[in-house]
Amino acid sequence: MYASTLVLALSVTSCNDTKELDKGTLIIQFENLLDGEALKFEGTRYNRDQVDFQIAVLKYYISNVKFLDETGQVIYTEEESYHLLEETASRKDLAIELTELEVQEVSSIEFSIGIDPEKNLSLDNTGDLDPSNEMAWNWDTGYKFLLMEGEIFESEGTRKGMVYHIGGNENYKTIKKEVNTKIKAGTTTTIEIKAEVLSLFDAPHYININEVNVAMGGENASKIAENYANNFFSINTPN
Amino acid sequence: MLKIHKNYIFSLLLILGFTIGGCNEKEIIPQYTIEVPDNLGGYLPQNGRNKFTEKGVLLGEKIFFDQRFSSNGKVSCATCHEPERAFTDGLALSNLGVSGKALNRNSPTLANVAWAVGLFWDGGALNLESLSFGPLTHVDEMNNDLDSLVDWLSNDPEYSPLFLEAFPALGVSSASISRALAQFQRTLISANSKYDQYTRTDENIFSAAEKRGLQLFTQHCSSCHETDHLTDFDYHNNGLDSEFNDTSLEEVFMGRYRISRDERDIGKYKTPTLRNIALTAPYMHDGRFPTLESVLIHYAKGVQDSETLSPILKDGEQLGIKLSPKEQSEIIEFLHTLTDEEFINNY
Repeated sequence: MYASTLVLALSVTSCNDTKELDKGTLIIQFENLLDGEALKFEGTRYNRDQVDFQIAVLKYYISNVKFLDETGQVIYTEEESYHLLEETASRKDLAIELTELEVQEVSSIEFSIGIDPEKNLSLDNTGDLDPSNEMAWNWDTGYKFLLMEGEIFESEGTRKGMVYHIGGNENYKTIKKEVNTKIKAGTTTTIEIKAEVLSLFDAPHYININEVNVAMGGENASKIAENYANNFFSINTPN
Repeated sequence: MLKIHKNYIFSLLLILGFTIGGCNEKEIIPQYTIEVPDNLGGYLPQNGRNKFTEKGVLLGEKIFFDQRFSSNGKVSCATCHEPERAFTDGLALSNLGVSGKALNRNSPTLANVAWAVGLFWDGGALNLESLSFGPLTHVDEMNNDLDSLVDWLSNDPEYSPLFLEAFPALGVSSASISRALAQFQRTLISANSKYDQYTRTDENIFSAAEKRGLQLFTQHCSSCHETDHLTDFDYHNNGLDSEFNDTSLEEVFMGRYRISRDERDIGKYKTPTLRNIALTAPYMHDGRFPTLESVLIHYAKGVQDSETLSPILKDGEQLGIKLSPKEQSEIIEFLHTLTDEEFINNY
């Protein structure tokens, strides 16, 4: 009995020694687009709904990343999987790096936009969930899942804020995308995901950004959430 | 100076001390508990992911009174939550923050906040661990930036070791600042008022008027201000206004609705505890009533009807609570027995 326990312990240790050689890395690289082109920030004006607008910041949480095989079985679940992706004129933080992965075929990936209800109950968290990231509400308990801020120019000299803070457990959405890729030993595989800003306002709910220039909870926030669940993300063919 | 509440009647027990942990267990911290009288339920609630430690509570107390946590070095938590006013500030709408601009809600007492189910007047904060980030960062409160706070504390020779001792796994972080504050605030227990002595030990200490006041209170007020916490921890529309059409400032004037998004919650606010109520004027979520007399007059004659008005305040066409001026003053006599001198003198 003692002997077999000892053997087991030793074999676990020896596994650890060689782990780097037979494991792989996956990078999920997001790219924000507007009308199919790389998103540009303050200084670049776009036009929609008969008004010009510009964007100052776009941030969103991608969480609970999983891999599935071709039968739909979950074959990998990232622990403590909360990633704040952020883009402004001066900052671009749009990659999720998963390391120490088993070598395997990945048929599709699943992830959520937002923070699951369990974690969304308390703000004393660290890392990407640290309230210093300015994604936590200070008068309510929970995180903004997606934040986009900018300005709308109704006519020359008239401007108003564009503020979309989407959160709330009902707006936590899970997305599954086919990727058909392989984790290879000692190699980094990259999946590219495009995020099209206009699709936040497009379908299934058309949102006129001039009429709805602010959404922070309520019906319009839920419509934007249903839009981001629908068609915000699209996958590029993996390399 | 740090002090552990030396006058505290409830013993501060160092308990068993050591959590059983495996070899990787880093946080071997003596935990303690505070005894709570039976009329408050016999035990002090705490957050499972932020259990009391002596070092955590003491660190929280130090932070609570330290003005350096504000951007201009002049505002601490205690600026708006002064111990001598049972942790309120005496203002209808506080303008004591960094900007000097008035807030939109009255500073509530922190007495027995450990038992509160929701925090803020609308229950927006689910726990004390989530609450502190608002006051620490709001431009009209302490106006600080969490990253710069963490930078300062990490380099501060006094604070840095205190954080590492109280929170070995977290060290200095926004989460540990908030957890320390939460631990300290849960120790703010008011349980030795004249009313507590009356109810626990000595029925003879109440005057005739106080006894009549208690009787009237039990009859007319205690369905929401349930004894002995003097609150039902729920939200009600107590008839302050007849309309709630102002949706400005992220719906701050719409009561609990802004949190629940349920139209039945429009105009509802949290039932405050009445412990130390004589010390916490002015009253209501917006501090509109300067005295207890004006509060009682509101309930007797001033209640406004609306769709969400508490049914307790409406009997057919009759609004409010039927109370004669004499009955009102007897209730006020009773309310004064809820003052706990020992509580306010502990800090």
